[in-house]
Amino acid sequence: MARRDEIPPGTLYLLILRSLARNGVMHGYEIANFIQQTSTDVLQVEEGSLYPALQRMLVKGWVTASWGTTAGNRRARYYRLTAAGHEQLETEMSRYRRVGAAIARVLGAT
Amino acid sequence: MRSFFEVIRRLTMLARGRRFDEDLREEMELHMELRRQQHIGQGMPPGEAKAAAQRRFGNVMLMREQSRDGWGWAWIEQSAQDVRYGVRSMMRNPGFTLVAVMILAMGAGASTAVFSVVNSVLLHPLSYAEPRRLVTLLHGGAAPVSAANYVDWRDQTDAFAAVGAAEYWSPNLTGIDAPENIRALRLTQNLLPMLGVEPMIGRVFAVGEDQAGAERVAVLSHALWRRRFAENRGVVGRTILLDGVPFTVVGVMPPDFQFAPFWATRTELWAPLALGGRVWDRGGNSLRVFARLKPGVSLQQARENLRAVTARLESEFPGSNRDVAVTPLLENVTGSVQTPLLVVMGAVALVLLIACANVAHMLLARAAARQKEIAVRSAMGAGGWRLIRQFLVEGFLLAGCGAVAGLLFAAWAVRVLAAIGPASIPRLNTVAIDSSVLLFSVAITLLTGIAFSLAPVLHTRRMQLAAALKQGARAAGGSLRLSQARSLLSASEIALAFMLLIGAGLLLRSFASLRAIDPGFDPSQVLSMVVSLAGSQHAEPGKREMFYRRVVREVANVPGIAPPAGSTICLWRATSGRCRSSSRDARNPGRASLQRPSTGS
Repeated sequence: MARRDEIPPGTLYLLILRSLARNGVMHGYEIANFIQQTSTDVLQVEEGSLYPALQRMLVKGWVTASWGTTAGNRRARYYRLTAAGHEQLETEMSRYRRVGAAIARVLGAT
Repeated sequence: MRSFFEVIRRLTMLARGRRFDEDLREEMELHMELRRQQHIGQGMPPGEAKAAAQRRFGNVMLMREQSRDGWGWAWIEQSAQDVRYGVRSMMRNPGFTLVAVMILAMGAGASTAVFSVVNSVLLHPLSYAEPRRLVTLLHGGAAPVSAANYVDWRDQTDAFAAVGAAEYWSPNLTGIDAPENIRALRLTQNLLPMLGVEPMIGRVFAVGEDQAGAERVAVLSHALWRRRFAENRGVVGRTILLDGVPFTVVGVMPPDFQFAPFWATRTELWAPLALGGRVWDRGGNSLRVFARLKPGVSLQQARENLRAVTARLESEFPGSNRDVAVTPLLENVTGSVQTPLLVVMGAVALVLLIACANVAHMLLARAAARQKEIAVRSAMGAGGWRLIRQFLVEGFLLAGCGAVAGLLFAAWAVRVLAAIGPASIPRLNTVAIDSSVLLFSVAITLLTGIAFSLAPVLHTRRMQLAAALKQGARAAGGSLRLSQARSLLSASEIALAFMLLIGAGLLLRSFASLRAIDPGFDPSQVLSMVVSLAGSQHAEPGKREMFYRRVVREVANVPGIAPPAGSTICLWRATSGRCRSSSRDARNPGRASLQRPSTGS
């Protein structure tokens, strides 16, 4: 099994936003799986913590939720990005890139 | 705009309530179920798969709580918990709760009752339009004025928008079932319009109705209308007899209307004042003069204006215009009662303070007994703020119960006050529990709640957790600090009570010395009554004496009454301390007072 790292604090929103932007409509389990698989199992989310994060995103209006049925015919809550969510994704992405580049510069300095 | 929608979203979540929890649970269960199936698909044994799924998910309860917290309504839920817990702990000690609530009810009730009096007497004493522009023009600020002076002041000053006069009158109201001697005022036509109060039914006096011959109209007070006319709206246009003279009722004033506010306060009827030939009379001082300042004219300017006029009149008619004062009506009304009322307000504030200190003391004693409970709660993760809030909630619960009981007490006390209160307090009949009194009561509740929760809260903050857990096993009592706090409370309670006691003692003493004034005769077992014959068929000089002889004879036949005596003058009037002069009765033939039935003379 690949070695697993906790995700850096504050990036959970970014990961969720990005997953939804990429795939459109997802329920919680799908988001967890998507993050894990695309990070080749390196990033491990404590899966339950997705849900408080999703609720806070609902409050902020970044996502909307609606009930639908899964392939296995179970009721599931599906999340979708709103316009505000897309905007937020842009903001968080650029901030992440800025911080990441800065850290890289510090580490690269000899 | 974004925050506005956010509020809407939060509110809809709050409205969904239980439904929200179920959705969340279903969603999380689906997640773990899918994870379990995935593990089984990878060849894990079913039991292990479930455990693994739960491990990966984390603490379900915590996640659910955090999800709810995201919406920012946690405090409602926690407050509900605190209230539930507080109610339970109140019910556990019914004796403690009952005593505390009763103490608070007395404190809050007394202050609410007195505040409701202060509110309507001092804060809203006059129900007229722009009451601060109204003034009285009286000799020495209190004594009545002659008709000629009134006319001259009215015509020669220019600082006033209107100058009106009122004269006391107590006619016999007949023409309806039982005859009654009522309190009334005769007013110049401009007086009621000057006050700016619209009649509830009908109209006030029209221009010209205060001319001799046209003055046979009357306006009723709401109280008289209710008492004698059964609130019949058809009373307007009806004819009543006042001192045997027919008057037409033209209007009824609204319930909170009172005039005059500082003298003749229980007036129930108003009729026009026709001065007639009296406009030349500079001797008979019987009018109270009221005026409204012209817009833009200050009280000072009005005083100067009137001073110039009275100086001129004084030089023309020496002795007629001395010491005429322009006094704000408000000052006339509240001046004499302001200090006593504020003193009483201060006294009940002290009572409330003592009640608070008392309850704080009780709560502190109980906090000592609850040390172990508090220690256990904080060991289980209750934060400091949460513990403090628990005390505050319990304090507010007690204060709330006390305030409700106090309001009931105050409502009763206000009714009693209105019934027995002295006539010198203006508008006492309008004292009621209104919105500002309720607001006052709420403020008192919050303040007292905080005040007496403070002691146990401070105590808790200082408490050493570990020490308390160890100590909790032994009986309450405990730390030095606690006993210090309680001594402090006891000392302040005693000090406050002592102040009150001295104050009450002084009041009682002045009351006692007032009662001790010797009237010059023995008033015990003596009753007096006033009979007025004005306007009746017995008013003629010959018949009058016969009537009174008959009254004396028949009263003597009432069992338990010693032979009565009659008199045309009043011997002693408790309300004013003044005697009506016999000459006045001589001027008003047909009126006489039957006073002081004596045992022998």
